[in-house]
Amino acid sequence: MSIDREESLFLTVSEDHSKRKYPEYILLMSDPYRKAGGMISVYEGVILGGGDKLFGLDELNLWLRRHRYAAYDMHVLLPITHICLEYVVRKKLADERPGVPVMAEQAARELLDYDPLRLRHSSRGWMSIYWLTEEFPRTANEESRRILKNFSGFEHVLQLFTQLVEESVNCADARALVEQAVQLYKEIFTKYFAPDHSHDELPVFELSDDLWEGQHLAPDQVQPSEPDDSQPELKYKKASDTSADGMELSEEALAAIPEYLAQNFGPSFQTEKAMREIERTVCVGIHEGRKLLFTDGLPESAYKEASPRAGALRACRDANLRMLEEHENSARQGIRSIEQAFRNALNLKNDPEIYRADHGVLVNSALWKVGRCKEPQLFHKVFRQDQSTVVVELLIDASGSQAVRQSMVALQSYLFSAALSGIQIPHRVMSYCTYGDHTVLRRFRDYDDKPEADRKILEYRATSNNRDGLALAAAGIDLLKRREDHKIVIVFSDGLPNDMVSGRHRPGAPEKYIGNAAIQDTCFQVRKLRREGVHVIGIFLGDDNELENERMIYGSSFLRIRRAEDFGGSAGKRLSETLLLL
Amino acid sequence: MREDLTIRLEQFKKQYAAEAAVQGRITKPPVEFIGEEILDLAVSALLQGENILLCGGKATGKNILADNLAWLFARPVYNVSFHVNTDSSTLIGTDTFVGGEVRLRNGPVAQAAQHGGFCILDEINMAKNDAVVVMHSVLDYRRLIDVPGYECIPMHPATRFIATMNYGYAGTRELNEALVSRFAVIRMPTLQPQQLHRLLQADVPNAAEEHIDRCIGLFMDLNEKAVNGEISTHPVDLRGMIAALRLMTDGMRPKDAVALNITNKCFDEYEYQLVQDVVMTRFV
Repeated sequence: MSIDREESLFLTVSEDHSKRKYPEYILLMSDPYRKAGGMISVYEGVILGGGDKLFGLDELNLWLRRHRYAAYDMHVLLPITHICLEYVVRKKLADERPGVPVMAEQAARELLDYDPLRLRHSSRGWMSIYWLTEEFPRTANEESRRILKNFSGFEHVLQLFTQLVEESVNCADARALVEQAVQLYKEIFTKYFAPDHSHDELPVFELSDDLWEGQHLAPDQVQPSEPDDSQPELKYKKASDTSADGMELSEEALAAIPEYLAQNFGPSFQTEKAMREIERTVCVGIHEGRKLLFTDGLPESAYKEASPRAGALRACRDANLRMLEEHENSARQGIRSIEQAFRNALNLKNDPEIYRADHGVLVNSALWKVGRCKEPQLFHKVFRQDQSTVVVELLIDASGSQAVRQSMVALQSYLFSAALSGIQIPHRVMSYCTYGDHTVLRRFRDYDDKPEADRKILEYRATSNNRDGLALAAAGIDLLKRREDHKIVIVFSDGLPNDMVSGRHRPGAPEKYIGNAAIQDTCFQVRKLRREGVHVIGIFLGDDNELENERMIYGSSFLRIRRAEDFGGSAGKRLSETLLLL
Repeated sequence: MREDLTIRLEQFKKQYAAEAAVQGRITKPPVEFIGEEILDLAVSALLQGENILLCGGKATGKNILADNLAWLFARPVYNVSFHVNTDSSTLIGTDTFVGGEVRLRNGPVAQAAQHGGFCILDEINMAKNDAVVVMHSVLDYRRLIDVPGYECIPMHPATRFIATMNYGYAGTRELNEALVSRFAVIRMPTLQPQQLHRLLQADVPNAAEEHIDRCIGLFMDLNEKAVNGEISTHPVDLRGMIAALRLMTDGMRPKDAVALNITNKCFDEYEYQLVQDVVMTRFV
C-alpha cells in the first residue's frame, strides 16, 4: 500500500503505524482539505494524526454520527468540528512538535490566498476566514480584510466564537470536543447564520445522504457504457486538474470486461486459484477491488482473420516490424551496445582482480627477485569478485499515451530483449495496460525462452490506461521467486501512471488512480521492490514535461533514450554506469 | 551489572592478563553501552566461553556493545568488517616472504587466537557462507585454526568472537545453520527514549535539554516509519543525529543542523519529502 505525505504524517503523529481507513464522518470532514493539495493537505495529516492520538478518530466519528441521527446538519457541524479539532491539536502538540504551528500558518496562508475551499463564497465560510486571520494575522490578505468588513457591528458574535473555539482546548475526550462544536453550532451558526443557499447548485440526481459536496452521482444513476477499444487516457496535467472526476463503469460494463479482454488480449495463462492468490497479495490499498489478467496474447490465427480487429492487430505488428526493418543497422548496433553495457558491468563485477603484493599466493616465476630487488612483491593478491547471477524483468507501458511512439517503444524493448538473449541473461518481457477494472499483463517471452521469442515483442500495441504501481507489484511476485542473486526490473514508461476509469462506486472505495495518487503509488512500489533487493531502472520515453515525474519515481536510476541510435553513444555508456551502480 | 558477574569478571581479568605487545589494542570505547539486561546476558555468555552473535536493526548499539565487552574483559580487539568478497585468507591469513622464507602472515582471526583477543566479526551475514566455513573449527569445541602447510594455531583460552548482523538488510544473506549453532544469539532491542537521552547526553554533554528531546522525538518517528516499511532505514541515522545535535549546540539553527545530517542524506526525492515533513513537525 502506498502512502502520500498526508498519510505519512497521519501515521507518524498518531503514533500508530497500522494502516487503517478514516471513519466515515472523519473522511467527510477532512475530504475538502485533503483534496486541496499543498501544505493544506499535508497539515491535514497532522490534524487527523493529532485527533487520533488525543481523542481517537473512531470515538470522534461515533459522537458525530450520533448527532447526525439527531438530525444535525452535518454540512455545518463537520466544518465547525474541524476548526475545534485543528485548534486543540495545534495547541496540544506544540510542545512536542513545535513545527506544527508553523505548518498551520502556511496552510492558513494557502487557504486564504487560493481559497480552494471557497470560503469567500458563503457567510459561514467568512467565519473560517475570520478565525484564520485571527490566529495567524500575518496571513491576512486584501481579500480577507475586505470580507471581514462585513462583520462590522457583529463584534460580540466574533468574540463569542473565539471564546468557544478556544474553550475546546479543555476538552478531555471526543465527546466533549464534539459537544463543544455543537455549542458553537447552536450559539453561533444556527443563531446568526441562516442557511445560505444562494450559491448552492441543485443536484441533477438524488444525493446520497451524507455527501459533503453534491458532485457525485448516485451509483444507480451512472450511465452504462460499453467497453471501447479506443478508451482515452487523460494527460497527467489534466488528470490532476480534474482529480475529483474520473469515470465509473456500470455493473454491466464491468461484467462484460473479462470476455472482451479474452477476445482482444488473449486468455489467462494463470490458473484461477493462482490468480486469486496474486490478486489478494497485490490488489490492496489504492488497487483494492481491481483485477489482473496475465496473458500470452492472442494466437497467430487471430491475426489472420478478416475481422476489423484482426486488421488492427496486423497493422500494429506490421508498423513495429517496419520500424525494425527501417532501423536495421542502428538496431544491430543498439543490441551490441546494450550487450556491451551489460557485459561491461557484469564482467567488472565478476572478474577477479589480481595484483602484486607482499602476501597472498606465491608466484614462482617471481622468485628470482629474492635478494635482487628491494621490494620483490612475490605474491599475487587475488580479490575475488561477486560471482553472482542476474535475472531481468522488462516491463513495457502499453497505455494509450504511448500510442504516438508505439513502434519506437516496441523497437527499444526488442533491442533490450535481444541483447539480453545474446548474453544469455534470463529475462521476461511483459507489457501492461489497464482496461476497466482489469490490469492486463501481456507476456511476450518468459525468463527461459529461446532468443526467437524476442520477436514476439513486435506484437506490442498501446491502448487504454496504465496502473504502473499494480503492474510492478504483480510482476515482482514471480521475479522475487527467482533464485538469481541480482534481480533487475527495467520499466519502459512515460512517467504518467494514470487510470481514469474506476471500478464499482461504493462508499470507502480507494482513491482514483490519477495525478499525485498514481505517482505516489508507483514511487512506493518501486521503493518496495528496492527494499526487497530488486534493482529498478526506468527507461523514460515521454515528453520533457513529464521528466520530473520519472525522476520522482525512479530517483537517479533512470535513462532517457530518444532513438535507437542513442545506444551506440551516451545512452549505452549511461546504461553501463547505471548497471555498475547496482 | 549483577554482583556475581562483576566478581567473576574480575577473576577472569586477573587470570588472563593481556600481553604487553597488544596493550595498544585495549581501548576505552567513546560511549558506554546503555542497557543493563543485555550487558548481563552478554557478559554471562562470554564468561561461560560462548561466542556471541548480536542481531538487531540499525542504531541498536551492536558495535558499541561489542567494544564495551572487550573493554570490560580488558581484551585486545581485532575487527573484521565482512563484505561479499571476504574469504578465508582475509580471516585467517595468507603467505608472505619474510627473512628469506615464505611464512604465514596472520589475519585478524589468527591474531585474536594467539593473543587472547576479542575478535569482532562485523556484519557477518554480508559474506558468502562458503567463506565463513573456515571459522567453524575456531568457533566450536575444537578451538583451533588448521592452516594447510603450517602448524595448528591453538586458541588462547581468553579468545572470544563477537559477531554482529542486521537481518534483512539489503545485501545480507541467510546465515548458515552450522555457523549460527556456534554462537549464542542476543537480539538487540530498539533503543528506548530514555536510553537515547542518556546516550545523546553522554555524547554531546553541552547540548540543551530541549534539543536532545527534539532529536529523540525525530529519531523515534523515523525509526517507527522505517520499521513499518514507510521509508528505508537510511534516515534512521543515530550518528547523523549526534552530529546534528553537536551542530545545534554549536549555534546552528536546529532545522539546518537536521537538514545537513539527516534530511539531505535522503537522495531519493520521494523519501526526502516524507522525512522532511516529519522534520517540519519537530523543528521550527
